[in-house]
Amino acid sequence: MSNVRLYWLSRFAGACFVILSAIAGAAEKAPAPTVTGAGEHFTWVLLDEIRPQLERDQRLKLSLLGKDSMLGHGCNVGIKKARENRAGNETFGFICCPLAKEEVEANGLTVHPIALEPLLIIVNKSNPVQDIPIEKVRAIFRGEIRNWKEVGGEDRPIVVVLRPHCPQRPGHWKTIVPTLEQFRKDRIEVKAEVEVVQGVSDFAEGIGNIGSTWKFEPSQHVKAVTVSGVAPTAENLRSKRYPFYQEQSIVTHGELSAPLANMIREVQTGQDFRAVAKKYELLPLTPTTP
Amino acid sequence: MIAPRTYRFRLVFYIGVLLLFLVTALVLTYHSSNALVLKEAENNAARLAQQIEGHLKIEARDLAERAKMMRDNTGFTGYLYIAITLGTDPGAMRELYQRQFGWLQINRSVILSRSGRALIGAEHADLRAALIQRGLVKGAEEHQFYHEGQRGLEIVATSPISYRSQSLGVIAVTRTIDAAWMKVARQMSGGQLFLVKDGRIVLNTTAEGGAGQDFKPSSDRVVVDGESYLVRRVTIGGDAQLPQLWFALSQQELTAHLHMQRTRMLMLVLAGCLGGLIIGFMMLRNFNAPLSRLVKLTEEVGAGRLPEIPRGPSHDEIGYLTNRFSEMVTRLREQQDEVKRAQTQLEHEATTDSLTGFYNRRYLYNIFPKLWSEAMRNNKNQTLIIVDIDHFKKVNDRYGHQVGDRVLLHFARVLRDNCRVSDFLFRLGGEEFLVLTSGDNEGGMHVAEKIRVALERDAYSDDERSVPLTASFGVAQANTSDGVDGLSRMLQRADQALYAAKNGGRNRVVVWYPKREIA
Repeated sequence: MSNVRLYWLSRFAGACFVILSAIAGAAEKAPAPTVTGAGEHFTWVLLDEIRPQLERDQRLKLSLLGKDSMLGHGCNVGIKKARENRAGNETFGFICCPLAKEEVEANGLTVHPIALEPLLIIVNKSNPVQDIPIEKVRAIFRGEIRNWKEVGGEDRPIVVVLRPHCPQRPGHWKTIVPTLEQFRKDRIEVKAEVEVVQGVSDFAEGIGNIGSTWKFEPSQHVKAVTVSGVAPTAENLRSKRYPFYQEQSIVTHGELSAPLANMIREVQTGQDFRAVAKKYELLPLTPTTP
Repeated sequence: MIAPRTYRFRLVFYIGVLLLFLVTALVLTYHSSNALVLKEAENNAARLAQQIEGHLKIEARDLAERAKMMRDNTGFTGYLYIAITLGTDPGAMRELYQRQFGWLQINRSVILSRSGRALIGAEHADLRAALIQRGLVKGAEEHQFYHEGQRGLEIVATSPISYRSQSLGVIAVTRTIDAAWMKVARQMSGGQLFLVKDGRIVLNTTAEGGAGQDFKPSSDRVVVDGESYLVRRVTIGGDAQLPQLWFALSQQELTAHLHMQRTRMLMLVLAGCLGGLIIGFMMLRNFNAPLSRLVKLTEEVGAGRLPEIPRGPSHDEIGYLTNRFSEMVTRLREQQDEVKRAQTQLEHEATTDSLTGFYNRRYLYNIFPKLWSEAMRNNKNQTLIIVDIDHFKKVNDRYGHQVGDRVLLHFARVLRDNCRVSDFLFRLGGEEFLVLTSGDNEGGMHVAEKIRVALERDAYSDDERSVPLTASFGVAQANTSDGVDGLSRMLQRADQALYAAKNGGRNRVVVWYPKREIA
């Protein structure tokens, strides 16, 4: 092969390399698709903690709405957001209640269970009570026990603070008292989880329940008590020794894009989520991938 | 003194009328404004008092809204419900109250249960008692009323509270009519406010204080601390036991504003007068002064004088007119000079002899009376010397008239050379000349002899000939007794003397004396 041919062949190969590199660079610089999720507060906490890993590994931009239920978010918002899923506008919802079969079918939803979350029984920090037997917890919320001295506390009336969310769905506070009608009538009813914590913090006689992923502020004078000597942990949930919990799930609607499906699978089975679940004493509902 | 009907007079008159008008307007305004301001203030006082009443109603409505805000807060009413029904520590409720409503602009708040138990504001016992007395703790409607309690007069707004259709009690919030409120109302209205109880001032917005002083208005007027106020009562409810709120306008403040306005007006009028004077001065300077100068110039021209008129800039009509007038006067002066020169020439020609340049007989008759009267005033004499060239006809006959003229010129030169500068020389006609000299006969004879000798010695000569000349002289002195006929008598006497000289053989001087007649 003559030197001239070699020269032109090397020139051609160099040009091809430059063009291919430019194409590859342009592909790398394409904006990551945005996936939007909305729903109740507790699952938002979990997803928000693993958001950096999800965005990095799944090459997407994750937009999460649901930091505070007081802002109007909740399970209903999660279902509504899931139904907005379209190609180019990937959405999903997160909920704290297991949906009824009729609701799933009526909305064309797919439920992706994530974890069971213990419901903490919280009292004011000034309250000397550290443990309440399970039946007495239920009796307190039903109004059958109305004074703390009946559970080993001071002679004070008991003030029940309740957020009666998702009354048509199973689970959550219904693990304590099955129906709203069974709760004591002279209670403080609030509309947001933060108001539950604040109410128990305000009343020295207060008692309420809150998911274990709640991040308590130093100004909130509350503490969680054990139930019949059992602490609200993942292990006690697994062994069914701790009775009060709610189920966290992701809900989707229709065909899922690859990034969204991969993201949900990663949440259900990934190691990052396991670490966060351990932190908040959650019991994952899907086995981890090897 | 300015003459009437002149522009200057009119200008001064118009400016005077303008200033008079301004001053009259000022004086009339000055005297009428006081009553006008007070009357207007009465209307304003009533209107502003109504505004304050409206302000109080708005305050009451705002308070009612705040009470309703508390009533409608389900979180707070839930706490109240628990506190009332379970008898829990009200601390939780108070903390929530502070979080939710601590920022509200209210002075006092009380929350009573239906039993009258104070859940919030237990320290406000007077307000609690008023609510119980009015039966509001179990009421179902909102109320607004005035209350006089520990903090003085207050607006109170109440709202019944309930939780899940269960009546819990009443919320009452207040706004105190205190010094701060009255200060705001004063700033809003611009007048003073007095809160009066039993005819004495409880609170007021005047700088002097005045609390505890009597306040007993009469005919909507009251005097406090020596200051007179125009007052209107602000209606704050029908309870006669409550303090009364009065709105007041200080007459001194009103008149102070008026005086300030008057001073401003006076300054404006003075400035207007000064402006008028300046304008008048400028008009006099720009219009009247050039007009007056022009009038004066025309008077001078009319009087026959033609003064030099300096030309100036002719930007305006008067300057243009002055310059045209100046040109006209200049042309007149040039023409007058021309006439004078012609007249002088004519006079010269009429009084002098064209050959010798000596004066002629006409001029002798003109000048002599003047000289004669002057000599008589100075007690001096005048002497005439008549000179006649001897045998001059023979010169003409022998050499011709041209030579004869040259001989006459030669004779005239000799005559001039031997006379004094002050002597007058005349040619009376032909070869007859006359010398008029001051002095007596002796002097005249001396002058004549001097001339005769010089002439005898200095014969006329030219390239062709020499002509010896002699002349005869008749000298006569004027007498004071001659009077106005001095000249004719002198001429007569000198002629007699000349005649004697001619008869005596010529080339001699003969003097006429009165006694011996001829010497």
